[in-house]
Amino acid sequence: MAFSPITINLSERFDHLSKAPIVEAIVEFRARAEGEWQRETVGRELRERLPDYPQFQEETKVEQQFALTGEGVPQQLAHDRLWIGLAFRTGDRLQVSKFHRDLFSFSRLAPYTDWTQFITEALRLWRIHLEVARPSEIQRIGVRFINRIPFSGEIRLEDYLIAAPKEPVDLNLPFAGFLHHDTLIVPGHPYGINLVRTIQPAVGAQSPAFIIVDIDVFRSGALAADESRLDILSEMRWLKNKAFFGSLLPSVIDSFR
Amino acid sequence: MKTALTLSAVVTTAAITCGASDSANFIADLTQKSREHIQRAETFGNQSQQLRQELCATAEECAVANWDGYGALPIEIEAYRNAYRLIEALPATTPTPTVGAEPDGAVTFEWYVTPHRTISVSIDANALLNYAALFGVSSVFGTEPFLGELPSQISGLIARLHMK
Repeated sequence: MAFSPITINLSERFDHLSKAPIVEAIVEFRARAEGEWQRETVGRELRERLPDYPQFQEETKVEQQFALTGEGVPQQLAHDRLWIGLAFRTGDRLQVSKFHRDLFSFSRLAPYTDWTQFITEALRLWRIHLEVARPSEIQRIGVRFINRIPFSGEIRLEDYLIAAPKEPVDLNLPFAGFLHHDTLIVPGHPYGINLVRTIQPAVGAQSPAFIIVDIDVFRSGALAADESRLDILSEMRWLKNKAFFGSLLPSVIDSFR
Repeated sequence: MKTALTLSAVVTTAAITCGASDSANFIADLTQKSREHIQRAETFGNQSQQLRQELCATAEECAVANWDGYGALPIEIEAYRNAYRLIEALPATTPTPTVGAEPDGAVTFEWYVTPHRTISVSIDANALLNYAALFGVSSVFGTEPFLGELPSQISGLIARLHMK
């Protein structure tokens, strides 16, 4: 079956939602550092360049090995904490940037501001990563927006989601949970979309539960790492917006204005 | 609903943009549990399980220096870990390779159709993928970093190898 390329219309306007349910907006570049990637050097260079991100922590990979000896408790053989980079946070902890050997990411936590502010800061930090890590190629770009819509008590999922899950025909049972993870391709473009819809249960009796609509637009494939890539990010943003506005009922969208 | 399940160049089930929020961690945990649930079924999880077992067996056989009698280096522990992650990142539709070791301490995966149609991909301690493919008189080789998903250059070669 052939798929016609879709047209990405960057002049299309999307309504600004002053109460958008965004809990995290992320830009990620996966690229292998080709500069020296040593803990002391990288830490010093980044701390000098990020005075407005005063909180930082070492990022490590934890690896554990166990041997099953047949004598009861597994024997731990090794416990490695491999240093992979640093994570920096603003003083209010609302912005997080990760600088790893193989990855750069920038997250804005709620309250989200707007795309221009978000992407301007992301690209500023990305340029710092380019100076320190000196990758020559990007292997993957991700633009991910996690939306969380609170609700209490019993609801009908079809009152929120356009493609709500349906119970089997003739088996009228309520949902206790669901997880839809769709991966969509974008014909004519090197993009894909991971679309996750699920419910995050309430933590306590007084807390709401949440419908989560998690939209992760990605581009896989090598690109030169020396440009801002604003054109690609704008296209990915358009796809993200189309996925968001196409996932929720208009009445739900209206509640975010 | 339209499907395009044969278009494997863009799609991978492994890589998700990382997040820092509690919601991102919740989703990552949920999708990982869902993946594990599917892989527990014999029908869907057999390939991954088989590859992990083969990797373990290879690592044990090649754990000492000179395992081949010609001075080969033992498999490096980081190469083993990277190979494990590569197995996790292989799309479910990927044909099953065989697992082996390189004399330089890397782990290798081979897709073999005939002596003149084969692909070999090795992964080393630095998570670099060195690949070489033979398609009759054509050959392709190169190096790509492994950043959590199988590079499209390699998945494309695997798809080409198994094209009917």
